[in-house]
Amino acid sequence: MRKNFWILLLMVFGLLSCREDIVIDLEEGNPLVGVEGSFTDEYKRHEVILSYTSDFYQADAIRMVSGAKVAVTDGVDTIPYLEQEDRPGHYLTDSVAGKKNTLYRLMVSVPDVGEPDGYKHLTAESYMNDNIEVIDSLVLKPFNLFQGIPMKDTMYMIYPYFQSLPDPSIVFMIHLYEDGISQSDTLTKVLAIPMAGYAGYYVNGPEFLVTNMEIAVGMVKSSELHDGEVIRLDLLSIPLDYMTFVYSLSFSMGSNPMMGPPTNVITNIQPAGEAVGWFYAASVVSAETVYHKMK
Amino acid sequence: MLQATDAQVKYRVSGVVSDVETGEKLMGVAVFEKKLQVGAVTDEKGFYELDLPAGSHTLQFSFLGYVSDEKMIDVKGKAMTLNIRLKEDVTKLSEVVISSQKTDHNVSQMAMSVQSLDMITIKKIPALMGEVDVIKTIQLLPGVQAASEGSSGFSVRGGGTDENLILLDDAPIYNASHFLGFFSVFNNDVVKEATLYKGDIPANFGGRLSSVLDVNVKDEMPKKITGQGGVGLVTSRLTVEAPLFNQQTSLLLGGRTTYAGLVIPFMGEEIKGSDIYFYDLNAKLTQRINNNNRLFLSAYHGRDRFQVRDMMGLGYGNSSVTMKWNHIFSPRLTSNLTLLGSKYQYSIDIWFDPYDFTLKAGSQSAELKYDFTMLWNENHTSRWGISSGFLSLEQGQLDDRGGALSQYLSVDSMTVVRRKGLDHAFYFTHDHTITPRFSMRYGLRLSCFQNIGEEDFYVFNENHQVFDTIHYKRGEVFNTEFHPEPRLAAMFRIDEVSSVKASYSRTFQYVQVASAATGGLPFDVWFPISPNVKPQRSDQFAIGYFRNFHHDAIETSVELYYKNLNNVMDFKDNAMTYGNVLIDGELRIGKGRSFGAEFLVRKNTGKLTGWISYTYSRSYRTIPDINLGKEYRSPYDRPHNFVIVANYDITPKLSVAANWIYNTGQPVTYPYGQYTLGGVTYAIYNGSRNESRYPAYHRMDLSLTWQLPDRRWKRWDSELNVSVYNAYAHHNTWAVTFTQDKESGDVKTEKMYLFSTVPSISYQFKF
Repeated sequence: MRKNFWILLLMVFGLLSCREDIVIDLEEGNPLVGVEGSFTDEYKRHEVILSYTSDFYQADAIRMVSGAKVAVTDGVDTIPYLEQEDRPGHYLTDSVAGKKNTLYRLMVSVPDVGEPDGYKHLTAESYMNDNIEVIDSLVLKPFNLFQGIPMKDTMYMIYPYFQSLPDPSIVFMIHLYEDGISQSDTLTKVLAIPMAGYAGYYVNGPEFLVTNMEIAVGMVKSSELHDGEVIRLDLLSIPLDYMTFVYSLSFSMGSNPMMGPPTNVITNIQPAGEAVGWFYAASVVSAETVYHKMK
Repeated sequence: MLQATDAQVKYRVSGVVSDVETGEKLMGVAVFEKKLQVGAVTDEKGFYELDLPAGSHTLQFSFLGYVSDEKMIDVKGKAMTLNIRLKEDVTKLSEVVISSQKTDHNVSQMAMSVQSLDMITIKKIPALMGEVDVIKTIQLLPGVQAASEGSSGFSVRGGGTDENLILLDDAPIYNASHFLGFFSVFNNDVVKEATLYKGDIPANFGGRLSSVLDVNVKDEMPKKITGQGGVGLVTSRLTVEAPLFNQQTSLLLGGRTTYAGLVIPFMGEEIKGSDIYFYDLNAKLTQRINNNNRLFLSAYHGRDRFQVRDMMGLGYGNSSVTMKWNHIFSPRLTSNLTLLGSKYQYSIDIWFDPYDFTLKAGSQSAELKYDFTMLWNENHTSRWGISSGFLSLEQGQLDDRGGALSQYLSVDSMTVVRRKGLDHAFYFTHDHTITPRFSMRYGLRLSCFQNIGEEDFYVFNENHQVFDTIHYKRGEVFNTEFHPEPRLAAMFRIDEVSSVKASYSRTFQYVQVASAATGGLPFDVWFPISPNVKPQRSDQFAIGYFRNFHHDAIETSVELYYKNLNNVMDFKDNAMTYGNVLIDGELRIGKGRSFGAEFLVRKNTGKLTGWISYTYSRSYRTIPDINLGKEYRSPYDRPHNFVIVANYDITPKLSVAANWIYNTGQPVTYPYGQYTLGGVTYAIYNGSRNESRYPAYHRMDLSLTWQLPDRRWKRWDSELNVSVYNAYAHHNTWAVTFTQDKESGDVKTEKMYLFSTVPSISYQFKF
C-alpha cells in the first residue's frame, strides 16, 4: 500500500519537477557488518554473504568479511556455512534442505579485535512458513494495459493456479526464470504478495474469475521469448517482515518533504545497530510452462 | 481602543461608521475630536464611542482610502448616537494600501506578534502562476516560513505545520491546500481580511500551539450588484455580491476552478481518461434584521481530484459552514452566537490487482460557541465566551476489494476506524488601560478535551507495544484533559511613536496530524490525544519594541520570543503513520524549545510600499529514542530568513512589484554509508536526525500590473497582471534523491526542484 501511495505522489511531483546532479558533503561513520542470507527447504547449498558497509560514494571499495564463523540451527541440528576459498565473504552450506514450520536461527561470528573473544557475535531468526503442496498449472495470457490501443510488443501476464492455504498470514515472493536464467536477480524485480484476502481460495480458479480477482505474478514480453522457452516460477513462502524489508528498500534513498526523515532500513540482525541486512527462511514450490509463439 | 481624556463629566457619543457604497462596516476608522485632542478607533463592527463633555464639538472621521468627513455635534447632557457613512476616495486608491487598522496601530495597540493583511496588499504581491494567495503571502511575513517550495503548509516560529489553527469564518480548515499545496483554499476575491497571530494569541482562540490564521469572508451590504473575478493561465474565478430585499440582505457567491485537466486529451492516448482539477465555492448570506441584530451564513466547499486512467485516483476536499448571530444588547455589550461545522476527507483509489482498494480518511467537527464583548468604559474592555464542540477523526475506512492490504495495515477490510472527542472551552480576557501610557491584557482560557467512544482503545506499555485493548461504548467518556491557559500582555507607550510590549501565552494542542512529513500533504490525518498521548503544551514569552517614523508611514519593530514546549511529539524511525490504528505506539514524546528575533520595517503609504524583514529563529527537540536521545533540530529549524516585498506605483495606472526571499536550507538527514543486498544499494544512517541541511533557498518574483483603460462600460474596471515567479531561475532544492545506475551500480545524488522561472499572465476585473 505504501508503495502505491508514494508511486502516485511521486508520479504527480515527477511530472512537475526537474532534477540535476549535485554533490553533497557527507559525514563519515564506522562501517557496519552487512548480512545477506537465506535458508530454504530446497535441497541445495544455501548461502550467506558477509561484507562491510562502505562510504556512500565509494561503492567500489566493498570489503568482504573473511574468517567469520557462520551456522544455522533449528535448535536441534546445526548446519555450518563455510567460506569459499575463491570468493571471500561468501559462505555456503553443504547440500541440505530445511523443514517447513520451523524457526531457524542464524549465528555469525565476525572477527573483531575489539571484542574480548576476538569476535563480534550476530544472530538473526526467521520462521520457515508452510507452503502450498503444488502449483497445478502456470498460464501465460496476453495483456494490454491500454485496452484498445495496439501495442508494438505483446505482453504476457503469468498466472499460477493453486489451492491457497487457509492461513491468511502467508506471503508469497515470486522468483521467475526464463530458460533457467533468473529474472528476479535483484530485489527491485521481485514481487511479494500477501495472501490475506485469498486465503483458502483456489487462486485464479472460477471463484476468482467471478469476482474478477485474478492474481498475476509476473509479466514477460513476447519479443524477449523464443518458441519453446521454459518459464519457471518459484513461489517462496516468506515471513511478513521480510516482505516489509524488501519494500522498505525503495524508500531509503533520499529525502523529500512528503516523507519523514529517512532512517535505516529495518534489519533482523541482532544486536540492533551492529549490523545491517536480512536473513530469511522460506519454503519453495515451483512450476514450469513452455511458451509457444502465436502464429 | 486607546483613548486619552480628561476628568470632566462626560456623555457618551457612539455610532457606527460604514462604507456609503457597500454598507460595509469599517474597522479602524479614526474618530477624533479636534479641540480636546481625544479620539477612538472603530471596532470590527464599525462601532465607536467617545466620552465628551457637554458643548459643541467637531468630530473628524478619517480612514485611509476614504474621503475624510467632519461633523459638528452638540452634546446636551445625555448620550447620543452619530452614524457616519464614508465615501471611498477613488483618486487615492492606487496610491495607498487600504488598511483596516489605525495608522499607528503598530505602536498604539496592545497586540504584538500579530500581522493583518488585507486583499489589496495581498493582490500586489507577485504570485505563482498569477494566483495571488493568502497563505503564500503569510509565508512572507517575519517568523513565518513555507514548509517547502510550493507548499501551503507553513511554520510559525519553528512550529509544525499542524500547529496552526486555520479558520475560515470561524470554521477550522483541516487542510488548506489545493493542487498538492501550490494554491490554498482561499479564493482571494472573497476574502476580506486575514490575520495571523504568531504569539499573544487571544484567549478566544485555542487548540493549536503555534499560531492562528483567521480568515474572514466579505460581509458587505452592497447597494447594487457588484462582482470581480479573474482569468489566469491555470485558474479562473468569479465572485458576485448582491443586495436583496431592500438592502437588508446581501449575498456573496464565489467560485474558482482550474482547467489544467483540459490539456490531458491532447497529451496522448496513454493517459486518456485521466483527470486533474480543483474547484472551490464560497457563499455568504448576511441578513440585517434590525440595528441590533444581524445574521451571517457562510459556506465553503472545495475539491481536488487527480486520476490516472482507471488505475489510480486521489481526491480530497474541505467543506465548512458557519452560522452566526450578531446581537448588540447595548452600545456597550455585543455578542456573537456561532454554530459551525467543518469536514475534510480524502480518498485514494487503486484499481491495480492485487492492490485493489479505496482508502478514505478525514476529519469532521461541529461547534457551538457564544462570545461576548463588553466595553465598560474607555479603560476597560472585557471579552468572554464559551464553546463546546464535537470531533470525529477518521483514521481509515478501507474497502480492500483485492484483500492484499489487510497485511500492511492494522485495519480490517470494510471497517471504519474513527476516534472521537469533545472539545470545550471557556475564556475571559480583559483589556485594561491603567494609565494613558500603560495598558495590560490579562486572560484565561480553560480548555477541556474528552475522548469518547465508540472506540477499541489500545493500551501501550513503556516499550510502545500493545498490551491491552479496551472497548468503550458509543458516547462513553474514557479520558478527560482539563488545562488552564493563561494569557498575559502588557504595553508601555514610550511616546506617540514608540512603545514596548511583552506577552506570555500558554497553549495546549489536543489533536495533531499523523504524519512525519514536513510539507503538509492531502493525506494528513488528524488524530486526538488519548490516555497514551498527553496534549502538547507551549509556553511562549515575547517582548518587542515598536517605533513608527514619518507620521506612521514607516513602521518598525523588533520582537524576541522564546517557546518552551512540553509533550512534543515526533515519530519514531520507520514509523507507519498512514491508516494505522496503532498510531499512538509510533509516537515518541519529549521536550522542545524555539527562540528567535524578528525585525520588520514596513512602509504602508506613498508610491513605494512594502516591507523588509529579517528573522533569526531556532527550533530544537529532545525526545528519547530519537537522535540517540540527544537534542536535535526540528524540521523547521531554519535560522536565517530575509524577505523584501516592494510595490512601486509608477503612475496611478501602472505599478511594479517585486519580492525576494532568502531562507537557510531545511534540515535534512543524509546517509554516511551504503550497503548492497539482493542487487539493491541502500543508504546507511548513523541514527542522527536533521544534522545536515539542504542548500539555502532564495528566489525573486516580479510583477507588473496595468489598469486597463475604461472605455466600454463605466462600471467595468480591469487590469492586466504579468508576473514572473523565481525570476532568476534559482533551482531551489525540494528533495534530494540517491539513485543507483543500473549498469555500473554507482550511486549518484540528484536534487529535485519544482520550479525554474514561471511566467504568467492574468486578467482581473471588477464591476
